[in-house]
Amino acid sequence: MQPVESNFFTIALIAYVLAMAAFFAYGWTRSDRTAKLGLALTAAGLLSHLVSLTARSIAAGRWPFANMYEFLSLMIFGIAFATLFAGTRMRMPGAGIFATPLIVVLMAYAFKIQKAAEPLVAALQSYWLQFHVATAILAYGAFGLSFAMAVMYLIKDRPGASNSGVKSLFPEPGRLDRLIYGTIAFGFAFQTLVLITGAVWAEEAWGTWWSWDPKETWALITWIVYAFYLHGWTRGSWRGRRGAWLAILGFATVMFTFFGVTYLMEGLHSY
Amino acid sequence: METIISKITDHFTSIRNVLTVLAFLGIASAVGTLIPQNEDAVFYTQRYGPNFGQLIINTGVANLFRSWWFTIAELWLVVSLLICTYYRGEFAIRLSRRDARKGLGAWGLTVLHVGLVFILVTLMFTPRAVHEKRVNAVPGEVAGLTAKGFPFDLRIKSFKVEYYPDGSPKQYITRCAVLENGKPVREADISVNHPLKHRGVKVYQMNYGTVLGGRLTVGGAIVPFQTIPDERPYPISSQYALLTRFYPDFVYDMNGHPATRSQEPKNPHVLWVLYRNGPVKMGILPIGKAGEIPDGEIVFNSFTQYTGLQVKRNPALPYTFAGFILATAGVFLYLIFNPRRTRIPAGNTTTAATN
Repeated sequence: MQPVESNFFTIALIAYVLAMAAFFAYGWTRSDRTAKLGLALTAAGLLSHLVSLTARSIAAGRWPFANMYEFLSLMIFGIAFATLFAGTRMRMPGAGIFATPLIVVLMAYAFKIQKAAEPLVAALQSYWLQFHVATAILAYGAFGLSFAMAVMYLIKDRPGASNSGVKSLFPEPGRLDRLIYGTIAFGFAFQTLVLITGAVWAEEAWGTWWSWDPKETWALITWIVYAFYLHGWTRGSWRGRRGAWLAILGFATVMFTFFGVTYLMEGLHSY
Repeated sequence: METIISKITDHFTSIRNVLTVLAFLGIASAVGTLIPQNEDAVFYTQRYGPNFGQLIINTGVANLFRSWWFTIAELWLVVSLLICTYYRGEFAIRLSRRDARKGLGAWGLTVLHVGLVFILVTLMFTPRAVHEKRVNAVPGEVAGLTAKGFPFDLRIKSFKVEYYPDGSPKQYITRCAVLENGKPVREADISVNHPLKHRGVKVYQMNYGTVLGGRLTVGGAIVPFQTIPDERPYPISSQYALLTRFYPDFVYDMNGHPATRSQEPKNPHVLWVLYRNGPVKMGILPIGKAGEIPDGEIVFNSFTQYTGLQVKRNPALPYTFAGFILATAGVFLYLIFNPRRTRIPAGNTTTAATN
């Protein structure tokens, strides 16, 4: 593997670890400056992560969309970006307390399975690969953020506890609930596109747009869980704590689609 | 009459029922990935025991995604989607009159649901509407598709595998001529991700392999044969079967096992096992060299790459793609003109509007 790519990947990992430490400190000190430090470190991680991905793309002469390591790296990028977005535009740096540990764990695993870029097998040589993966990054980034916010909700809304300590950093439960809904709706829109671009591509490559392959079935199950959430939320019966638990279940299906199906089941997907 | 209709409508538009069906489809799909699908009956009774294995077969879990109960749940969802889309459409029209921008967002959700109807219906009916066949053919051969119910034949001109510099395969390309009534009407290259499209039929590059030609001489009688390297013995006459493995660039590896250095035919060898009611003899032979068998000899004198093509006519495909286009358009309309989100001028907070 190229030194530029691997060095910047290591720097990104270190930056994310430091960001996690800063966000933990923010939970303790509750000072805005610590939160800003956490966000700045997340941004630094994103930047060196981007350099690493770019170096890899240039070296391989293609987008880094082709194997488990590459997609995991992109998914982390999506979640880290969503965390930065939540901390700045949504003015909710507290999300970093729960998103950065997720980022660090996934990043450490990506670090372990790092490998040099290989040429694309025939089935992956398609324009649809780019749309398929790009939409997946947006969907999974949003789902990762909704997971962090759901954990925040469960802590904030814990019955009988006072609104002190780290809880004072989180938005009001009502607002948090709406933010989770909005984030999931955004992720769901892109998850729909993940399924459609995958189906169109499968039709070109294998002649069947849907074959109940384990990976595509689990991507559909993820879609169904979030469809359930959105409809349940709209009618009011799945808001609040129930909705937050459902958002966590949704992200668990995302993780299972990615890791569980890849390692436990056989199918047409290479990762 | 009106009460019956309104009762039916209530049944299909009840959010509680919609959630129940979604949960059912989600859980059933998960089960369908945990229990292997479409295996032989013996597989289930051996793996899950006679009773539970039989239960899996009888309840349709072994063919879950096409079982009657899974299909009923899908049909329920289609009816529900149709009725709800009607109401959604009405809502979108009302909202458009009040607020054109938000109305577009509501239209987005409506169009997405219409797209889902198309997708779901074609998902159920495609397996029943599709006409597909697998064909294997060697260069020079005419793949007779008209005999299999397709409107043209294919003359295979060449088949080649392209490699990357590191030796891994890059692309598989079949060059062929399309024949209508025996006359060539066009030439085409078929490769992975680039199927041939002709007269509503698509031809996909699926796989490839080697056909071995040879001759068996037993007790003075000569038996010419053609065989395909496979995991199982391949019958070559009424008495004999051959199991073969082909090594284009033969070498013994570090453990003394036969292997191939590359896919290029630099040193072609065949590992063979001859069967007659059971294994008779085995050996490894270079192409063109005879080997001894009881009361005779065996020789492999040719190897040709064949191309494996999937020929498919799917009349439902335009409707599926219409569904994809509608759903995609709906998603974008929703993302751009989200009907629920209204910006509060003072800050960045979002709020929900009532539906």
